[in-house]
Amino acid sequence: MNGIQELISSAEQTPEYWGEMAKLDFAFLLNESMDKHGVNRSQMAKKMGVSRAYMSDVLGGDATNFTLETMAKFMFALGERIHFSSAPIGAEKHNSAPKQSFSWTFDFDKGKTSHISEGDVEINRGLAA
Amino acid sequence: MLSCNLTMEYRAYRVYMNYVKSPADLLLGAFSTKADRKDALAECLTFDPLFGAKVRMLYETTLANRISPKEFVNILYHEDGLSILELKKKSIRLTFFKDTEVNIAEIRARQAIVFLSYFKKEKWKTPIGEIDRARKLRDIYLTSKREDNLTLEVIE
Repeated sequence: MNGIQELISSAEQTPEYWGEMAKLDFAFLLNESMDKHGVNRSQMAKKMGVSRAYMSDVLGGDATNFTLETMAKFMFALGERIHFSSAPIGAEKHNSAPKQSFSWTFDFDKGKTSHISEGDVEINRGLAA
Repeated sequence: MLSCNLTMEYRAYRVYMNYVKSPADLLLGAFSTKADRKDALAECLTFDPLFGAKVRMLYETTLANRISPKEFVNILYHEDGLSILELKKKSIRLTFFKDTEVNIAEIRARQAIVFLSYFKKEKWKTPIGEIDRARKLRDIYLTSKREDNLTLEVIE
Protein backbone atom coordinates (compact mmCIF):
# COMPACT_ATOMS: atom_id res chain seq x y z
CA MET A 1 0.00 0.00 0.00
CA ASN A 2 2.99 2.32 0.38
CA GLY A 3 2.89 2.67 -3.40
CA ILE A 4 -0.48 4.39 -3.13
CA GLN A 5 0.83 6.87 -0.58
CA GLU A 6 3.72 7.67 -2.90
CA LEU A 7 1.25 8.07 -5.73
CA ILE A 8 -0.79 10.57 -3.67
CA SER A 9 2.31 12.46 -2.55
CA SER A 10 3.86 12.66 -5.99
CA ALA A 11 0.56 13.85 -7.52
CA GLU A 12 0.45 16.61 -4.88
CA GLN A 13 3.87 17.78 -6.01
CA THR A 14 2.66 18.63 -9.51
CA PRO A 15 1.16 21.97 -10.58
CA GLU A 16 -1.61 20.03 -12.38
CA TYR A 17 -2.90 18.73 -9.03
CA TRP A 18 -3.17 22.25 -7.60
CA GLY A 19 -4.76 23.40 -10.86
CA GLU A 20 -7.46 20.78 -10.21
CA MET A 21 -7.83 22.05 -6.64
CA ALA A 22 -8.21 25.64 -7.89
CA LYS A 23 -10.98 24.57 -10.28
CA LEU A 24 -12.72 22.76 -7.46
CA ASP A 25 -12.40 25.76 -5.15
CA PHE A 26 -14.02 27.85 -7.85
CA ALA A 27 -16.77 25.26 -8.43
CA PHE A 28 -17.77 25.39 -4.74
CA LEU A 29 -17.57 29.19 -4.70
CA LEU A 30 -19.77 29.44 -7.80
CA ASN A 31 -22.25 26.89 -6.45
CA GLU A 32 -22.59 28.84 -3.20
CA SER A 33 -22.95 32.17 -5.04
CA MET A 34 -25.63 30.72 -7.32
CA ASP A 35 -27.51 29.46 -4.26
CA LYS A 36 -27.18 32.85 -2.59
CA HIS A 37 -28.60 34.63 -5.64
CA GLY A 38 -31.28 31.99 -6.30
CA VAL A 39 -29.88 31.22 -9.75
CA ASN A 40 -30.26 27.66 -11.01
CA ARG A 41 -28.04 25.82 -13.50
CA SER A 42 -30.19 26.50 -16.56
CA GLN A 43 -30.42 30.20 -15.76
CA MET A 44 -26.67 30.41 -15.18
CA ALA A 45 -25.91 28.60 -18.44
CA LYS A 46 -28.24 31.00 -20.25
CA LYS A 47 -26.66 34.08 -18.62
CA MET A 48 -23.22 32.85 -19.68
CA GLY A 49 -24.27 31.62 -23.12
CA VAL A 50 -22.87 28.15 -22.48
CA SER A 51 -24.39 24.68 -22.72
CA ARG A 52 -25.80 22.77 -19.72
CA ALA A 53 -23.06 20.20 -20.28
CA TYR A 54 -20.35 22.85 -19.95
CA MET A 55 -22.10 24.27 -16.90
CA SER A 56 -21.97 20.78 -15.35
CA ASP A 57 -18.26 20.55 -16.10
CA VAL A 58 -17.65 23.91 -14.40
CA LEU A 59 -19.62 22.95 -11.28
CA GLY A 60 -17.91 19.57 -11.17
CA GLY A 61 -14.47 21.21 -11.39
CA ASP A 62 -13.91 19.39 -14.68
CA ALA A 63 -13.98 22.25 -17.19
CA THR A 64 -11.02 22.40 -19.54
CA ASN A 65 -9.42 25.55 -20.99
CA PHE A 66 -10.75 27.42 -18.00
CA THR A 67 -9.18 30.87 -17.76
CA LEU A 68 -9.15 33.56 -15.10
CA GLU A 69 -11.25 35.65 -17.47
CA THR A 70 -13.87 32.89 -17.65
CA MET A 71 -13.99 32.67 -13.87
CA ALA A 72 -14.38 36.45 -13.62
CA LYS A 73 -17.21 36.36 -16.18
CA PHE A 74 -19.12 33.72 -14.21
CA MET A 75 -18.90 35.76 -11.04
CA PHE A 76 -19.66 39.00 -12.87
CA ALA A 77 -22.88 37.40 -14.15
CA LEU A 78 -23.87 37.09 -10.47
CA GLY A 79 -22.81 40.66 -9.70
CA GLU A 80 -19.73 39.52 -7.83
CA ARG A 81 -15.98 39.65 -8.18
CA ILE A 82 -13.30 37.15 -7.29
CA HIS A 83 -10.77 37.64 -4.53
CA PHE A 84 -7.60 35.57 -4.44
CA SER A 85 -5.55 34.33 -1.56
CA SER A 86 -2.69 31.88 -1.26
CA ALA A 87 -1.12 29.71 1.40
CA PRO A 88 1.92 27.43 1.57
CA ILE A 89 1.07 23.92 0.39
CA GLY A 90 0.51 21.61 3.34
CA ALA A 91 0.30 24.45 5.85
CA GLU A 92 -3.43 23.99 6.32
CA LYS A 93 -2.91 20.41 7.43
CA HIS A 94 -1.20 21.59 10.58
CA ASN A 95 -2.80 24.97 11.12
CA SER A 96 -6.49 24.27 10.69
CA ALA A 97 -6.78 20.97 12.54
CA PRO A 98 -8.09 21.52 16.04
CA LYS A 99 -5.62 20.56 18.71
CA GLN A 100 -7.11 17.64 20.53
CA SER A 101 -6.11 14.38 22.05
CA PHE A 102 -6.79 11.32 20.01
CA SER A 103 -5.74 7.80 20.74
CA TRP A 104 -6.03 4.48 19.01
CA THR A 105 -4.83 1.29 20.56
CA PHE A 106 -3.65 -1.99 19.20
CA ASP A 107 -5.33 -5.27 20.02
CA PHE A 108 -2.75 -7.96 19.33
CA ASP A 109 -5.26 -10.76 19.90
CA LYS A 110 -7.63 -9.48 17.27
CA GLY A 111 -4.86 -8.23 14.99
CA LYS A 112 -6.11 -4.68 14.92
CA THR A 113 -4.08 -1.60 14.22
CA SER A 114 -2.55 0.87 16.62
CA HIS A 115 -2.67 4.60 16.46
CA ILE A 116 -1.52 6.96 19.15
CA SER A 117 -1.79 10.64 18.59
CA GLU A 118 -1.70 13.78 20.67
CA GLY A 119 -2.60 17.09 19.07
CA ASP A 120 -1.59 17.05 15.42
CA VAL A 121 -1.75 13.79 13.54
CA GLU A 122 1.02 11.49 14.64
CA ILE A 123 0.80 7.77 14.22
CA ASN A 124 2.55 4.77 15.64
CA ARG A 125 1.52 2.16 13.20
CA GLY A 126 0.96 -1.49 13.94
CA LEU A 127 -0.16 -3.67 11.12
CA ALA A 128 -0.95 -1.25 8.34
CA ALA A 129 -0.57 -2.89 4.96
CA MET B 1 -9.86 -24.59 3.16
CA LEU B 2 -8.48 -22.70 6.14
CA SER B 3 -6.88 -20.00 3.99
CA CYS B 4 -10.16 -19.64 2.13
CA ASN B 5 -11.95 -18.99 5.43
CA LEU B 6 -9.32 -16.47 6.49
CA THR B 7 -9.80 -14.59 3.25
CA MET B 8 -13.55 -14.58 3.80
CA GLU B 9 -13.01 -13.12 7.27
CA TYR B 10 -10.93 -10.18 6.05
CA ARG B 11 -12.76 -6.89 6.50
CA ALA B 12 -10.72 -3.70 6.68
CA TYR B 13 -11.32 0.01 6.76
CA ARG B 14 -8.15 1.59 5.39
CA VAL B 15 -7.69 5.16 6.59
CA TYR B 16 -5.59 7.33 4.28
CA MET B 17 -3.76 9.76 6.53
CA ASN B 18 -2.59 11.91 3.58
CA TYR B 19 -6.07 13.36 3.51
CA VAL B 20 -7.00 13.34 7.18
CA LYS B 21 -6.55 16.62 9.04
CA SER B 22 -8.71 16.14 12.06
CA PRO B 23 -9.09 12.43 12.92
CA ALA B 24 -11.50 12.92 15.81
CA ASP B 25 -13.86 14.86 13.54
CA LEU B 26 -13.57 13.08 10.23
CA LEU B 27 -11.77 10.02 8.91
CA LEU B 28 -11.39 9.14 5.25
CA GLY B 29 -10.66 5.71 3.90
CA ALA B 30 -11.77 2.74 1.89
CA PHE B 31 -13.49 -0.47 2.90
CA SER B 32 -11.92 -3.61 1.53
CA THR B 33 -12.80 -7.27 1.72
CA LYS B 34 -9.61 -8.44 0.05
CA ALA B 35 -6.28 -8.36 1.90
CA ASP B 36 -4.21 -8.87 -1.23
CA ARG B 37 -5.97 -6.43 -3.54
CA LYS B 38 -6.22 -2.69 -3.95
CA ASP B 39 -9.26 -1.03 -2.48
CA ALA B 40 -11.57 1.22 -4.51
CA LEU B 41 -9.69 4.42 -3.64
CA ALA B 42 -6.31 2.89 -4.49
CA GLU B 43 -7.69 1.56 -7.78
CA CYS B 44 -9.08 4.97 -8.65
CA LEU B 45 -5.88 6.84 -7.80
CA THR B 46 -3.82 4.33 -9.76
CA PHE B 47 -5.97 5.05 -12.80
CA ASP B 48 -5.89 8.84 -12.30
CA PRO B 49 -3.60 10.28 -9.59
CA LEU B 50 -5.15 13.73 -10.10
CA PHE B 51 -8.44 12.32 -8.78
CA GLY B 52 -6.73 12.84 -5.42
CA ALA B 53 -7.66 16.54 -5.71
CA LYS B 54 -11.35 15.52 -5.68
CA VAL B 55 -10.75 13.31 -2.66
CA ARG B 56 -8.99 16.11 -0.79
CA MET B 57 -11.78 18.54 -1.66
CA LEU B 58 -14.39 16.03 -0.48
CA TYR B 59 -12.59 15.72 2.85
CA GLU B 60 -12.16 19.47 3.35
CA THR B 61 -15.69 20.42 2.36
CA THR B 62 -17.24 17.64 4.47
CA LEU B 63 -15.18 18.80 7.42
CA ALA B 64 -16.36 22.37 6.84
CA ASN B 65 -20.00 21.28 6.26
CA ARG B 66 -20.09 22.93 2.83
CA ILE B 67 -22.78 21.96 0.36
CA SER B 68 -21.36 20.16 -2.67
CA PRO B 69 -22.53 20.80 -6.21
CA LYS B 70 -24.34 17.69 -7.46
CA GLU B 71 -21.84 17.63 -10.31
CA PHE B 72 -19.13 16.95 -7.72
CA VAL B 73 -20.96 14.56 -5.39
CA ASN B 74 -24.18 12.90 -6.45
CA ILE B 75 -26.64 10.75 -4.51
CA LEU B 76 -26.64 7.36 -6.19
CA TYR B 77 -29.07 5.64 -3.83
CA HIS B 78 -31.08 7.50 -1.23
CA GLU B 79 -31.49 5.90 2.17
CA ASP B 80 -31.95 7.83 5.43
CA GLY B 81 -28.52 8.43 6.93
CA LEU B 82 -26.91 5.73 4.82
CA SER B 83 -27.20 7.05 1.28
CA ILE B 84 -24.76 5.80 -1.31
CA LEU B 85 -22.99 8.76 -2.88
CA GLU B 86 -20.61 9.05 -5.80
CA LEU B 87 -17.59 11.28 -6.29
CA LYS B 88 -17.35 12.14 -9.97
CA LYS B 89 -14.75 13.10 -12.51
CA LYS B 90 -15.85 12.74 -16.12
CA SER B 91 -16.55 9.00 -16.46
CA ILE B 92 -14.80 8.01 -13.21
CA ARG B 93 -17.05 7.15 -10.28
CA LEU B 94 -15.99 6.41 -6.71
CA THR B 95 -18.87 5.36 -4.48
CA PHE B 96 -18.94 6.01 -0.75
CA PHE B 97 -21.17 6.58 2.22
CA LYS B 98 -20.82 8.55 5.44
CA ASP B 99 -20.60 6.57 8.63
CA THR B 100 -21.76 8.74 11.51
CA GLU B 101 -21.19 6.12 14.22
CA VAL B 102 -17.48 5.46 14.03
CA ASN B 103 -16.56 2.87 16.59
CA ILE B 104 -14.02 0.55 15.02
CA ALA B 105 -11.97 -1.24 17.65
CA GLU B 106 -10.96 1.61 19.98
CA ILE B 107 -11.47 4.33 17.40
CA ARG B 108 -14.02 7.06 17.86
CA ALA B 109 -14.62 9.83 15.37
CA ARG B 110 -17.63 11.99 14.65
CA GLN B 111 -17.90 10.65 11.12
CA ALA B 112 -16.04 8.77 8.43
CA ILE B 113 -16.08 8.81 4.67
CA VAL B 114 -16.05 5.16 3.59
CA PHE B 115 -15.19 4.52 -0.06
CA LEU B 116 -16.82 1.38 -1.37
CA SER B 117 -16.32 0.81 -5.09
CA TYR B 118 -14.84 2.28 -8.23
CA PHE B 119 -16.14 2.05 -11.78
CA LYS B 120 -16.15 3.86 -15.08
CA LYS B 121 -19.55 5.02 -16.25
CA GLU B 122 -19.96 4.33 -19.94
CA LYS B 123 -23.65 5.00 -20.42
CA TRP B 124 -25.96 7.80 -19.32
CA LYS B 125 -27.65 5.67 -16.70
CA THR B 126 -25.62 4.14 -13.86
CA PRO B 127 -25.79 0.33 -14.13
CA ILE B 128 -28.02 -1.05 -11.37
CA GLY B 129 -25.35 -3.67 -10.68
CA GLU B 130 -22.91 -0.94 -9.56
CA ILE B 131 -25.46 0.50 -7.14
CA ASP B 132 -26.19 -2.96 -5.74
CA ARG B 133 -22.47 -3.68 -5.39
CA ALA B 134 -21.92 -0.48 -3.39
CA ARG B 135 -24.94 -1.19 -1.16
CA LYS B 136 -23.74 -4.72 -0.53
CA LEU B 137 -20.25 -3.50 0.44
CA ARG B 138 -21.76 -0.87 2.75
CA ASP B 139 -23.89 -3.52 4.43
CA ILE B 140 -20.89 -5.84 4.90
CA TYR B 141 -18.96 -2.93 6.43
CA LEU B 142 -21.81 -2.12 8.83
CA THR B 143 -22.33 -5.76 9.80
CA SER B 144 -18.59 -6.30 10.35
CA LYS B 145 -18.42 -3.19 12.49
CA ARG B 146 -21.43 -4.26 14.53
CA GLU B 147 -19.90 -7.70 15.07
CA ASP B 148 -16.54 -6.16 16.00
CA ASN B 149 -14.96 -7.95 13.07
CA LEU B 150 -13.59 -4.94 11.25
CA THR B 151 -9.85 -4.35 11.06
CA LEU B 152 -8.57 -0.80 10.90
CA GLU B 153 -5.51 -0.17 8.76
CA VAL B 154 -3.81 3.20 8.89
CA ILE B 155 -2.06 4.08 5.66
CA GLU B 156 0.49 6.79 6.38
